[in-house]
Amino acid sequence: MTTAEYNECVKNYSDGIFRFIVKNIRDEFEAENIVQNTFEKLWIRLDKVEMKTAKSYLFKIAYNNMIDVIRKNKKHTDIESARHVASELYEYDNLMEYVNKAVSQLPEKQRSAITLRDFEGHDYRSIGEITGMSESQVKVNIFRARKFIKEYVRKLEIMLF
Amino acid sequence: MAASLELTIGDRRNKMKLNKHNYELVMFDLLEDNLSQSDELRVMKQIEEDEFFFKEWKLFKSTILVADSDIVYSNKSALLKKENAIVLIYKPWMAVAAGVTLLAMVFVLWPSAAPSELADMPTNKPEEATPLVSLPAIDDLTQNEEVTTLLTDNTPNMKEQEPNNVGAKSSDESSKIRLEQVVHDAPASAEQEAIITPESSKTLIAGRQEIDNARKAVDERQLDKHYNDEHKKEEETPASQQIAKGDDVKLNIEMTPIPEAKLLEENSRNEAIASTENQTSKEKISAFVTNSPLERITSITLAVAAKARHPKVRLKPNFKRDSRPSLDIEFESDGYQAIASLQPFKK
Repeated sequence: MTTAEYNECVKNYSDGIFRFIVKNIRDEFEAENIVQNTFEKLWIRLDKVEMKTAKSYLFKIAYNNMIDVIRKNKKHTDIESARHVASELYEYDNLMEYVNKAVSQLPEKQRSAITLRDFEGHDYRSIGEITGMSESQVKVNIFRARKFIKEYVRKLEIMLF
Repeated sequence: MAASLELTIGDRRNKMKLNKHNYELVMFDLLEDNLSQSDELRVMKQIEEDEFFFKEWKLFKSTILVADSDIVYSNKSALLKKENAIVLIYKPWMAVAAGVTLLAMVFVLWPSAAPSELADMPTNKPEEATPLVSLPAIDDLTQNEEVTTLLTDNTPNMKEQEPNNVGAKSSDESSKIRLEQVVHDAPASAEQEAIITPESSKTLIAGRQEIDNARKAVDERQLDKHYNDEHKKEEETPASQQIAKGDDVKLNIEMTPIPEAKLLEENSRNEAIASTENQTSKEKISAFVTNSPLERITSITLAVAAKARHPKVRLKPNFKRDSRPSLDIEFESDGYQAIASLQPFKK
């Protein structure tokens, strides 16, 4: 990969990676650090990465960094989410915000799979490469995520109607 | 074969037929765009016909996440690289290689001389005044009668000793001219330390050569007489009386300007006299060697002094009876010292 191609990757994928991380960890500062680390690693291994695999490579690095951050902050996140679970139904009147809240409560693998699928349009194979899962595992995780979100949204409908 | 094909189509039709057990999987495939176009149409028709499936399908569609375009990474410019930038890749072995190279360079470039040897090496500092070189004649003079004098103090003595011949007179006059040439640009004062420049030194040497040529033509008898008178006078007069003891030599010069025309007239007169006399080469050499050695030494000294700053000349004549007469000249300027020992007086 050339420097020009690297710059092209920054322009094309930095927003997507940042969005993916923010959706998963809900911490913009931490997401910025992860994006920066991700592109630093790409720059270091510039001669070993091809342009056509750059997107998967970048998201894989970002995903691994994100997992590290999640594991580091797991305790804190669990306490915080438990504290807000009771009031979450009344906090959102917008459907998308409610769905995003549901996504934030998904297990990490399901959340990553569905965000990669919907935000960036990755196929099962690509998601498998990023997250280290097989295609069938990816499909199962996405299915479970959608089912969870559907049931979550159903609760809101019951409350509203 | 036909029966198995019908069975497969039948299974497929059954699979795409929605019921309460499979509708989630079918709707998921529909949502994920995993169905063929014909299957999509078939499933969609069933969803529209059944209210329950329609509601469920609506819920499923709400699970599609939409990327928020407001969420963007703002520090893209910090990540961008210049296209001609050099990629520096760090490897642990690079640190080892750099260390080895550094050690090798230190080993190669380390000065071979030991510190003590370096201390003995000459520096560019100006030399301090070194003690005078011990010459036998100087030592004797120092022990007995170290005599220093003003350079011009010898001229009156010689003038008194010289007979009224033209050659001797011209010698005295030329000496005066010579010194005046050196300082003719200086302000007139009775006694003033000469400031001698290289240009004036060249003029001095040229005049000296002309005078020496004229002097070769002087009659041997006149020169012998002059020499004998001079030598006799020197022997009668103690050196301590001739030269003030312990004084440093200073170039005190009478500042009377003499026109250049007068100098040329003097030289031409000397040459006319010389040409009228018949002299052998031996006589000429003898005249050159024995005639006014002090003046010759003075001119040489002045030429050397012209190249130095703040020159000091110390003359140490040695006129002991039991030793060969000699004249030691010590020249000293800023940071430099030169010593010459001359023995022009043969007995």
